[in-house]
Amino acid sequence: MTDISLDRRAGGSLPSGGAGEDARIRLREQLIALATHLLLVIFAFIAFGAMMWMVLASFKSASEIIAKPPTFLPEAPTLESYALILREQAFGRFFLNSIVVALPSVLLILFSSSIAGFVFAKFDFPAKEVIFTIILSTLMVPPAVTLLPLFRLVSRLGWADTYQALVIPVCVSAFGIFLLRQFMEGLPSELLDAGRIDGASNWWIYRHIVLPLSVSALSALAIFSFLANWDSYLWPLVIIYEEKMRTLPLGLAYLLGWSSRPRYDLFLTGAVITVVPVVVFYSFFQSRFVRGVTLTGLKY
Amino acid sequence: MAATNLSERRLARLWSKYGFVLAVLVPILLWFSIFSFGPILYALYASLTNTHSLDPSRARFVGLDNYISLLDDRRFLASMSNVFRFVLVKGILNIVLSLGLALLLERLRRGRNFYLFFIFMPVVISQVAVAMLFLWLYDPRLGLINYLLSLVEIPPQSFIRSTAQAIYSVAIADVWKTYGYAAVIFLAGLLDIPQDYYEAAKVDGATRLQTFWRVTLPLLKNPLVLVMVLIVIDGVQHFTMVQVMTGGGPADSTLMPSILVYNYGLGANNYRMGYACAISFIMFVVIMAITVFQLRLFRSLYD
Repeated sequence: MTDISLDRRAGGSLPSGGAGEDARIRLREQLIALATHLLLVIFAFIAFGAMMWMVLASFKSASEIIAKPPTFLPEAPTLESYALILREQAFGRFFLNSIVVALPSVLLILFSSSIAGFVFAKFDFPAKEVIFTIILSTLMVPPAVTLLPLFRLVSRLGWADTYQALVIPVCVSAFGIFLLRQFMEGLPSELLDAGRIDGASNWWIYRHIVLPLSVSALSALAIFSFLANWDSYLWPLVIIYEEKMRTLPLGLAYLLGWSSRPRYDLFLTGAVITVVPVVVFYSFFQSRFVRGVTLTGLKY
Repeated sequence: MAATNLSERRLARLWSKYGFVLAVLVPILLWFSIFSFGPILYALYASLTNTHSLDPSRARFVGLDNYISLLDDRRFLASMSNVFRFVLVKGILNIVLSLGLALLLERLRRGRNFYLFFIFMPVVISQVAVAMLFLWLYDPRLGLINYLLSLVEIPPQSFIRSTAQAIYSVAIADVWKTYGYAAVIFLAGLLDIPQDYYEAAKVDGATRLQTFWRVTLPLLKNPLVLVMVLIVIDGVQHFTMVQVMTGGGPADSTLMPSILVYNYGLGANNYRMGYACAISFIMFVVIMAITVFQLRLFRSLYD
């Protein structure tokens, strides 16, 4: 799919009938508009209300969370569960781990995808399409297939319980290479040729012409690879044993086994800590997130 | 002397032509060999052996034995039927909700981004966090949903604790998180349909419903195929939410093939890597088959 903004194409409308007819049609349209908004408010409430309720619950005491009837606003707002989760579980450390893993992973994906995309889009060399097709075909293989062999490999390398175990096996993306190739094929070759005539190196052209022109594709890729990385659960579950190396999703899931009774106060507080950075980031760049869907179209 | 010069010059020319390509592709292909092609081929080989996950040195070639044993494996068959129901429920709910939502959003003149801001938010948050939220909502005694049901005099349900409801409960939680994504794809598709088509339908006296079936839906073919293919690929591999919410239980009623790969491959007392790899290849074949089928189906329906 192409990069389109979420707006209707310009177009005219049919001329309407007489004056009395007009008023009736206008009333009908207003009623329909009202119903549309009402339904949309319900949709928005189901999505946002549940999350809001979770955030509010994280400021309630353990007993208020399970009180009946349930309260919406905290009756006696408290940071109890935050204090508990940071004291009893190393959530600060998990947070740091998630960032230390996500940032290099995303940067390496951006770099490898853009430079390989550039090579596949703007260079001719033997077996180009064959190599590209082989890379692309790995997208169809479910991660469950490579899970156990990767577990063996990474364990043999002695990387269990390390950051590189969480970064290196995900730092190149077949999807990213595909996306950037598609995008860069649309860049005018004259621009690159102008650089070549001036004697610029390929690296210089990549750095100063191709990258700046690819910002919209790169930001979509950055957003979705960050989300995937922040969300990643199966691979860390397999390769991380030590508590202090857990990422947020892993630390969060381990809360389930922490006590014999479900501690919803801790579950929800942990969940809030996990989602807050993403939601803040999303709040600032909402349109880029949404446009990223139509641009990438293939992921998720 | 002249010959060396010539080949040196040719080498230099080749280098100036392909040097950059090589400098980029060699490391990239090296990475793919180590972390992608290699593991895929190894998994295929392992699925034909009785490899132990922690000690592969004693592996023996067993041909198709693993695949044959799977046909009798009650847990594997349960996981396949579970994932089928999961994808079906998820797919239907997801498409109905996201298409309905996209149609509503399309009608708006302004305020689209305002609603989208809230509706898209679950898409960006972590699956484990969503699983935690729904564990709470679904709690039979303490959860909000049973409380709301009690207000309208519906008896409390057990949701993820019941073998009958668990798979649907998890599917609904998954739909809550993901349908906003499909809605954006549909919305983009709807906004791409030129207004003239609707005007023409109006002139011909088509009702709203006719317009939807005859004009809108056929023109949404590409987004529909995309969404359906994504749902199948995503659903057949599903792991995280089910693993966190139910771990495959109660009584294997939410067991998924990918959970079995994990349990058989790395679960205590198992470590049957060959057997687990065979399951993963069956998943691969199933995903490919359904995807090809969907693409064919849509081609024959509308072209």
